[in-house]
Amino acid sequence: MTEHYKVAIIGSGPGGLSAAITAADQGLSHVLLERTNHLSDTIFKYQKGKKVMAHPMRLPLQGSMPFEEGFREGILDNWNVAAEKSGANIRLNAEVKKMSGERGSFQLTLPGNEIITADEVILAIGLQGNLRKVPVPGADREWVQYQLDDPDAYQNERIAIIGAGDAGIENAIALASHNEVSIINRQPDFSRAKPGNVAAIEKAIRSGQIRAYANSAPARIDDKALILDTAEGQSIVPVDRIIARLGAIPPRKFLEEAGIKFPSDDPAAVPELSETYECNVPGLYIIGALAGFTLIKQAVNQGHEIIRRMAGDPIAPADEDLLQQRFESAFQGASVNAVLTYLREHVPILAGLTMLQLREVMLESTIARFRAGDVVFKRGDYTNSLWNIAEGTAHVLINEARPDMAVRIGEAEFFGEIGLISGRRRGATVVAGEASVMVEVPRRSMRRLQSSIKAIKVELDRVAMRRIIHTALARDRPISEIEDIIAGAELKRYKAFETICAEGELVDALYIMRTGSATVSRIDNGREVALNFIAAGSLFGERGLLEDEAKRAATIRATVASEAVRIDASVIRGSMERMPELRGIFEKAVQSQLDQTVHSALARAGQRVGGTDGSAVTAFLVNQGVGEATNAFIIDEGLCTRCGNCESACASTHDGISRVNRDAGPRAMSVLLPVACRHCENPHCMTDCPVDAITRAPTGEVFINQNTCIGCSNCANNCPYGVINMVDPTSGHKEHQNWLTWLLDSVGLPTPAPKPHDHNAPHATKAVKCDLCKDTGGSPACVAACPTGAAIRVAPETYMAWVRDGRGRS
Amino acid sequence: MWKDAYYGKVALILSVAAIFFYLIDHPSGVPNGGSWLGYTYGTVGFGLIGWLAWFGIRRRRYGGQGPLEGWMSAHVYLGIALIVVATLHTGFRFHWNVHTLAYVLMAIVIVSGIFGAYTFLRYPAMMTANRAGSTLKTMSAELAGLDQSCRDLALTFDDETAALVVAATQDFGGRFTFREIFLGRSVNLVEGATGGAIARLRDQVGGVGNAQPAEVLPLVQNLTKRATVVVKMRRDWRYRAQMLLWRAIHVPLTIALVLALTIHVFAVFYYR
Repeated sequence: MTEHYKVAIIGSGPGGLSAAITAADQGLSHVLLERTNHLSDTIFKYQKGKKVMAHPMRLPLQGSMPFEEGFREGILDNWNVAAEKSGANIRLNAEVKKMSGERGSFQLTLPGNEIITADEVILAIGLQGNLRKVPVPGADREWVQYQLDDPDAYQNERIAIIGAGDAGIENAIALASHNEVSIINRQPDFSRAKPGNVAAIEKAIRSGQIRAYANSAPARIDDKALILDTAEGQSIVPVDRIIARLGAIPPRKFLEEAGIKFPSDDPAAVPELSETYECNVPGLYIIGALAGFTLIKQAVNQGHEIIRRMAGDPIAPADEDLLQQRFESAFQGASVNAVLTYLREHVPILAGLTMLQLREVMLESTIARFRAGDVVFKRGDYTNSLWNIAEGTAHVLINEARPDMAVRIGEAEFFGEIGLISGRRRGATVVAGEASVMVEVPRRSMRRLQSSIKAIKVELDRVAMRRIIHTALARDRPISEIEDIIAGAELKRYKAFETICAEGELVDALYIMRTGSATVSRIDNGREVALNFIAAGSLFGERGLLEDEAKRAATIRATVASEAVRIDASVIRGSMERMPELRGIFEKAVQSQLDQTVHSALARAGQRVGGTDGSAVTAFLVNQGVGEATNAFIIDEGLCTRCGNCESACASTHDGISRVNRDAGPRAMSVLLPVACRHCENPHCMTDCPVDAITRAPTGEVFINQNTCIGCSNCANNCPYGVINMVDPTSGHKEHQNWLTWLLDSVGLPTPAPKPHDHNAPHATKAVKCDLCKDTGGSPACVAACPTGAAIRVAPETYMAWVRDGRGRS
Repeated sequence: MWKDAYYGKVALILSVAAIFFYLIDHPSGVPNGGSWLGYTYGTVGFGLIGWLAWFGIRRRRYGGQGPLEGWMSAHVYLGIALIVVATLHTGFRFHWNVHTLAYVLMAIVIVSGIFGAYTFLRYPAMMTANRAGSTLKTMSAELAGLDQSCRDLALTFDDETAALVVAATQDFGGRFTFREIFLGRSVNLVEGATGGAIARLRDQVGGVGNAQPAEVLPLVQNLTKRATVVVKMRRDWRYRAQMLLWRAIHVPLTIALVLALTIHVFAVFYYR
């Protein structure tokens, strides 16, 4: 006699357990099947004492399963207690071997060929039960492992880490202090990982702490040895232990045998789901990580929601209220579903999303209504969201003196994609052409959408390319007249320091910088002399384009990973007849480049014999990554009296915690780049903030909201320049204001130490960095407090001029 | 240069005007602070001193007050102009009293300030050149490394030589002297323990003693190198000391000046 249940729940992680507890609360006939001998294996296997976050913070938790931010152990204890108290019907050691059937007739095969039947099934097995294994002979040895619980448990071992993703890098670094660690990377570099991890592993490799094998894959595992296939042939790595971190993927075979269809052959693809998490098999629901929802809270809510619906007591999704609030200003009183349907009909880039994806995007997006003439954003603003027109029109004022030449963007189209892509200031003001409804999707959501839905990225790139060419070459003509130029353009990607075109080469193309930046340099007396700096959005490589057989007069090299639109010379020459104004653009550009050359020659002539020159300073700044800065803090040490007033000023305006470190930081000649935020074009810190606490103000400052920061330190790890500190915001002490200490300090005598901070007091660390003093209403305090003018904060375009003026050398 | 020495021009106009009026004025009796013009100089000077002294407070008021660079520039130029205004205020009459005391204090404060401005103009660039991209921290790390290698190398020599080398690694050139700080006489380590150790080692190259000469050369090199690092570090401290020490006169005497000035003004009006 087989047991029969209304619902069988597979997997006892956050999603499955939440479903089982709710089913028990509702008196619904159910069973929870867990493969291992304990609940929630994924979290059980977390590193000991790991802090578990409960984001998204604003999303409410539904159901009676407890969950809040805390440590692994506490969370597991709470769940065990809750499971016990609810009386949920749980079967441990009950791995489902096989699953078949559909609504009303599911059959699940358990160990010992026991069969369970159920009307409906919730699949909440996550991904961690199916780690990718090392696919080579010998991988079954017991010292080949797939996780690392406690790095301190291993000492003085030779350990090879296979896999150069974030998990592999983090493991390698954690083990490296007490062990001899190698990291095996199939790729030539670590570009797959977070920037913070890339920086950390590259540093460890440079210092010899970790040995790296790039372009290498395991071939065989022998006794105490890992045999690698490398680009140069086989190589043997002696090991005591192998830790493979190759990621986790859906157990495709099991799922497909149950009839579940996948949208693509990509092993990481997730099944397509309806709004109620039902997959193509009727009555089979998929939630949690297997469905693409990686956050614990989402899984808990999903499990609860499904069971409530099955029990005939449906509740609205957890995000319903949040969405309602977001839609309220534009669609007062409308139901969430009505607005979502409206969006799918009116906004093409949102039309291809599933209802679940759309809800996620709209949680972060805004719908706004504009009257005719309202400004959407201004030229020079530092916003980088994408605007979609649902109803109405927008006018892009690419030439503010000629409002009649504004480019009209109509219904179902989008704008703002150049700011989104390049991360630089808005290039033009946009106003609403008539009463309009527009949807603003923030950069973060757009990035996620672009990576999950190819078509969106392709469409964005296509439109961005058209518009960037239009703006650079023919802003006074309708875009339809330059279709041939657009058709002849291609998008090229460059690595940092890669040469885009070299001195002496034939002039065969024109470029427009799309993201990143580049330097222009020439070889002069055997030395490379930097002449100019090209920011995103600028036209370059046009010199000589008008003549046949002209050679490049300078080398143009990317300063950071960059993208440029390349238009072949023949295409341009072909259009010249038809568009005489092109000639004007090129001639003007040639003239300004000549000026530039003369200028820098003069600057060089004015230098002292044996002194260093501006191009060395420029090269230094570029090598230090200033090319991606929008506002870098630079000190001219030829003027700096080392009084430390910049740091004191910073601390005094920011609760006693300085965000600039004047002692640290690279220096060359007399230029010092103190460790302080550079407000990058595409801030690395913003890429991975789980609570969106890092924002860029319209005026350009990148700042961290201290109220929402949860102190996870992702941003600090991601910043390649180390400018973010994790500190207790209450630990700073104010500058002494009493007259005695002030006097002592003024004459350079030691002052009594301030009252020490009580480290036992309850506190939380938060991420702290420069905000350009945006709240004080003045210029940055560090610069304002410099008595000699040695400290400046500048954009790259300005610092090049600054260097040409002869600053930064002494 | 702040806005093409704007405050320098202001100070120059102020000084020239002050001298001009002093020359055309014909007060009854000898020129003195009690005449109409004398009171004017006194009032201007009093205001200037108050404003100049306020700089000490302003320097540490951060946020939303405009660049300090402008204040600094004005502080220097107007401070120099104050000498002219205040001297004319005295009518060149000096006595052993609180009035002259205030004047003398003021003169010392201004002279120390001029010296300070000189150090600020001169030393930052010299300091940068001396450090050559390094920092005090890295220099001391370098020194510690050299000392360690010297001591290690010394182990291969006889006790007496080794003791000399160890003494040389503790040779930092002694106390700072006035001559060194203000006149720039660098210490010469070769005259001290370092020189002794090197001379002893040189003797060994000649074959005297029982150590292998192979160790001699690196040891002499390291001792010389550490001596240059010590000299470099001392030079850095000297520059720093010069940029700091003048304030030990400038600031306390400013406070004394403000007190003396208060008494001066009070006395003048009380006993007139």
